[in-house]
Parts: sequence; structure tokens; C-alpha cells
Amino acid sequence: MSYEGYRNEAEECRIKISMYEQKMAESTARSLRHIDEAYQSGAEAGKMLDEQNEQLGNIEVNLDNIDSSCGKADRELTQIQTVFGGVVNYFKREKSTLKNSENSTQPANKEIPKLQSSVPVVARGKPEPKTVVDQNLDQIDNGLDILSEMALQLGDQIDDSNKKLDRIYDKQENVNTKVNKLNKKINRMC
Amino acid sequence: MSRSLLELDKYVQTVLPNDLSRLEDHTDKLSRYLSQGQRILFQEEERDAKSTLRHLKSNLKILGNITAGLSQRDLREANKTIDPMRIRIEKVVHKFQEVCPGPTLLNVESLSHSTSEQDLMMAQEEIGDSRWQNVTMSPLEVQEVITPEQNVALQSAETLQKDLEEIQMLFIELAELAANQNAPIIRLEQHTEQTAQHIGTARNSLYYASKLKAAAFPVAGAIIGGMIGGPIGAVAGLKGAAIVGMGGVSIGAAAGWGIKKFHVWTSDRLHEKDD
Repeated sequence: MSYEGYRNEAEECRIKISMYEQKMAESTARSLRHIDEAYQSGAEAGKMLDEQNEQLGNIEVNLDNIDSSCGKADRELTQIQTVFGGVVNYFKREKSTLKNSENSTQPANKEIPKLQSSVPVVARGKPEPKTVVDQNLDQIDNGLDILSEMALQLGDQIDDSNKKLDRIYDKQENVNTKVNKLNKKINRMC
Repeated sequence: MSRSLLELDKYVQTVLPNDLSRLEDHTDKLSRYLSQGQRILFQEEERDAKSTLRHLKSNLKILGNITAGLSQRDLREANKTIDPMRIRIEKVVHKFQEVCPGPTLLNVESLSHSTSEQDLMMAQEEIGDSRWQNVTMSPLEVQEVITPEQNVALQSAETLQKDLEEIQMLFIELAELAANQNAPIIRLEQHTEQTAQHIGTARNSLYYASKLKAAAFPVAGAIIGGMIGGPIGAVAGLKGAAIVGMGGVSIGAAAGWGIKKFHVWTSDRLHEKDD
């Protein structure tokens, strides 16, 4: 091959190497974008779960109030039904069948750590591709740490919500039974 | 012996054999480098071989010039030594051409003719690419090549990207699930709130009903007192009936009032506990 041929071949190899490095930089930049979007979605989910946890807490409080009202209504009915209902109520201590929402205190919501600026560093004044790849890989590492922490927090929130839902289910069963009893009692009186 | 013949003899016996042995040496090395795929060494050796070939050519040109000046008798004498040399040159050049194909640089047959330097230099050898097809390339100027490790790194980067895409989809699905359960939870909250209000209203109604019922106790007491006292007093007489009856009514009313008060007190106590 002539010298020109060798030079063309060398040029080809140089192009191949720079293409490889560019591919690496682009691949890592895309990975960073995925991490960014995953973080946004996770933060949104966390916010919604927070609000829902608060609403579940309100539901629990409402059910407690309903239960308490049902108990009192039952005593009023007793008082109305018989002459000595008042005497009976005087000596009857109010029973609270439902546990107070002792666990309704929401866990201190840890602040979701902020993702450092994960704008993919693809080209800033066209630095050397290797530097870009290294920076991107560092940011990917940081981003993955934050995502894993966020996932754990979301998991805790979901566990808390699940426990609340279990309690709400039990409470609403109790309340349902009490309201039915009261209805029957009132219907008998009528 | 003429001077030209002596000079011719010198070339044929000494100079040309030296060139030929060097060319043979180059040919051996070139074929070895070609088989081993050592392109850089091949190139360097080829350069040296070309230089030797040019030297041979120029010597042949000189020999041609010498033979051109010979008489017919001396030329016949000279051909006896030139012919074997010619055959040897052809063999060596042919062997060299097998390793480095290209247009012939030498025209051995026209030893007697002078060939211009330009003709010789214009015969450019082109190394066919086909010789290097099975040989790994090692470019001269590029220091590094894409190594298998770099290929693995690129594949790993792409695998990482795919995994992160999956993670992103998981987070998106989680956000969608959380968004989907928003509406049911809001409805649940509203329903329980309304239910609590209704139950509260019902309890208030019962409280007032209890109070109203308590209002009847003095009346009931008076009636009962009168009904008990009247007959008892009637035994004593009309006056006694009236007095005992009135007394019974008063006591009954007072008792009823007392019961009413107790009743209302307990109701209020129940009601106050809420507030």
C-alpha cells in the first residue's frame, strides 16, 4: 500500500476511536436523562402518597368520631326507652371499642434528597470525551444513590398507608355493626 | 583484453552478484514479514529492497552502456558471462515480484540498451491489498486501537442505559398507581365526613327527644300520685280524698320532676362529653 493508503487507514482508525468515545458519552448522557425522569416521577409519587396518607388519617379520625357518636346515641336511646335509663347510664361507663388512632401519627416525612443537577454533560466547549464520560458516570452513581433512598422512603410511606387502611377497614366494620344495631333499636321503638 | 571487457567483468563478477544477493535477502525477509503480518517491517524492508533494485538498475544501465561500446567480437565474448547473469537476474527479480507484485522495473533482456532513470523510477510498485486480507492491521500513526475491553465497556454502558430505562418505567408506573387511588380516597374521606355529620345530627335529635321525654315525668308523676292518693283518701271521706289526692299529685309531680331533672342531667352529661 502506498503511504497515502496508510494515512487514510490511520485516519479511519482515528475516526473509529472518536466515534466510540462519542457513543460512550451519548449512552451515559441518556442514562442520566432516565435517572432524571425517574426522580421526577418518584418525587411526584411521593407527594401524592403524602397527601393520601393525610387523607387516610382524616378518615380514621372521622371513623373514631362516628364510633364515639354511635356509643352516645346508644345511651341516649337507652335513656329514652326506659324510665331508669338515666340510672343505667349513670353507672354505665362509656366504652370505647375502637382503639384510638395511636398509630395515626405520620412518620416524619424525610425530605426527599434533591438530585444534583443531572443535566447530562455532553459537551461544554467540547471537552475531551473521556472527561464527559467520567463526569456522567459520577452523576449516574450519585443519581442511583438518591433513587434508591427515594425508593426506600416510598416503600415506608406505602407500608404506613397499608397499616392505616387495615385499621380503617376494621373500624368501618365496627361502626357499620353499631349503626345497624342503633337502626334496629330505633325501629323497635317506633 | 580491452578495458571495457575488464570493466564488464568487474560488474558481472562482483557488482551485480552483490546486488542480487542483497535482493535475494530482501525477498526472503519480505516473504517472512508478509507471512507473519508485520506490516511495518515489511514496509521498511520494501523500501530497502527498492533501493537495492534501483542500484541494480543503475548498474545494469552502466553495463548496458559498456556493452553498447563493445565491438562485435568482444560482445560475443562478453555474452558468455552476461547470459548466466541474465538468467540469475531474471530468477531473482521474478522471485521478488512474487512478494511485491507490480510492473517490472527491470528489462533484463535489454541489458545492452540503456534505460532512462525516469522509466525505472516511474515503475511504481503497488502492494495489492489482497495480500493483507488475512493480516491484522497495525496502523503506524495511531497509538491506540479499539480493544475488546473498550467494546465490553460500550456494551456495559448500553446495558446500564436499558436498566435505567426500566427503573424509570417502574417509577412512572408507581406514580400512575398513586394517582389512580387519589379519587377513591377522596371519596372515602368525603363519605366518612358526611356520615360523621349525620350521626352527630342524629345524636342531637336523640338528646332533644330524651329531654322532651323527661318533660313528661312530672305530669306522669302527678297523675300516678293522684290515682294512688285519691282512692286512699276517699276511704276517709271526700275531704280526705281531696287532701290525700292533692298530696299524692304533689308528691307524684315532685318525684316526676326529680326524675326529669336526673334524666336531663344524665343527658346533658352525655351531650357535654362530646363538646
